[in-house]
Amino acid sequence: MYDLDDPEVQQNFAHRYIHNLLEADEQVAFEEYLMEHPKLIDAIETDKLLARGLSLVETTTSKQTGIQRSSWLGWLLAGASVAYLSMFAIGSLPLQTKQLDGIDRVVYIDDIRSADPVQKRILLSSRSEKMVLMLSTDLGQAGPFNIKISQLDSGDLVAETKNAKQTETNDIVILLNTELFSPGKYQLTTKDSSSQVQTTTIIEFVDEKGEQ
Amino acid sequence: MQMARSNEQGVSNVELLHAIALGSKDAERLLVEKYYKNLFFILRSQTQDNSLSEDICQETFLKVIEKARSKEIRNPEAIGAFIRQTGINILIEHKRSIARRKTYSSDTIDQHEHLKQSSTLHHIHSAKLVEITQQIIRELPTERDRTILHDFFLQGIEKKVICQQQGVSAAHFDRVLFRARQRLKQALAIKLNVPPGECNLYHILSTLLTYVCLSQWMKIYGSYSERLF
Repeated sequence: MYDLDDPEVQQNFAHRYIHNLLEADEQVAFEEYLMEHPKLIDAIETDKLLARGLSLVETTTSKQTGIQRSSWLGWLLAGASVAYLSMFAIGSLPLQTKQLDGIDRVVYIDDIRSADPVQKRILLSSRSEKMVLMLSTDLGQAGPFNIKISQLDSGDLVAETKNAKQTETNDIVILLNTELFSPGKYQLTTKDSSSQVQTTTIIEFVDEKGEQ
Repeated sequence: MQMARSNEQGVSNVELLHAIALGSKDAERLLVEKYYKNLFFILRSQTQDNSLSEDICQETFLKVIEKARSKEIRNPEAIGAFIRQTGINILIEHKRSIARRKTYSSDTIDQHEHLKQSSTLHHIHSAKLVEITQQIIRELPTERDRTILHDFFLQGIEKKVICQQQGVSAAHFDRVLFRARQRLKQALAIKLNVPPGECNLYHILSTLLTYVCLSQWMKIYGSYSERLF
């Protein structure tokens, strides 16, 4: 019915498959074709990876370039906003009065899957910044996740979010304000509600003086 | 082993299913190797859930192999479509009854190693991916080319529309995408320590997959050999 051996048709179907735009019968035909053509899966994976890379780049540069935000990014920021607002459910946290008009910084924490605590250094600038923490989770972790950030020495809870969900790239997105933190070490605990697996990451905030 | 050598030269699905019906474990392994990644990719696309997709893949192949053993597969030529449909049916059943998790098992069928080839890409760390993508963007000669990538991959706009909007030919569009894909593959090849001449991503992942399969099957055949000698 469809000439999926034709490269143009193939590219069109692959593109619409990634963006969930195929009709039901087209999807069946395309998936049956995929079963016999794994190289096409490779091409789709490459495109998905490129899309993911572009999304991440856009996250970090959208303020400077003025590129229109994608729907994915919109979703991401919406999710981050929810996480951000839920942080303020804790009464002891300072209230944030500014609007969520942009992200100053994205910090990637890729190793929360590690069994051993890892340490991540984050530079605190003198001004207040909105900071996105991107936590990469393990493939086996289904979530949702409960996340706590507390001071390492005192154990005082600084921020908490519950039922955080992963993005399609297995990242958890958390939006924080650096006003919450002072130089020192913090413990970021991530607990997978489904598997009850808990991982710990040590984050060290340093000011510009400390960095030098 | 004989089956493994034959398959490299291209064993047909009819021969594969015939061999399974005769009790060949090699043929069962080859069937799983050939279709696992493809089914996993499809299921993951629909569920966005790795562990659920793996569970359903496992259950699908158990069912398919049992049917192949008992010669219940009517159209061996379309085994790929049959495996997909079996997987989709199990997924639908799962959705209908979320509470009922995987209960199907058989102690007469080897529990095949999960072949996570397609999910390998999800291990590429975000920071590294940003670095690679930024490099790709920097190498694009014009703002228009950057817009093409953005509109195609992020906005989901179709090629025909982008070509019209940007005033470029289909050939130019293809060239921009081809270069971006090639650069990504090259960067990944370097990251995964694959020789530059073999920067086909499928090849890279197949190499990883083969390694995983061989490791698993060496364990099985290793213990078998110990009993023999």
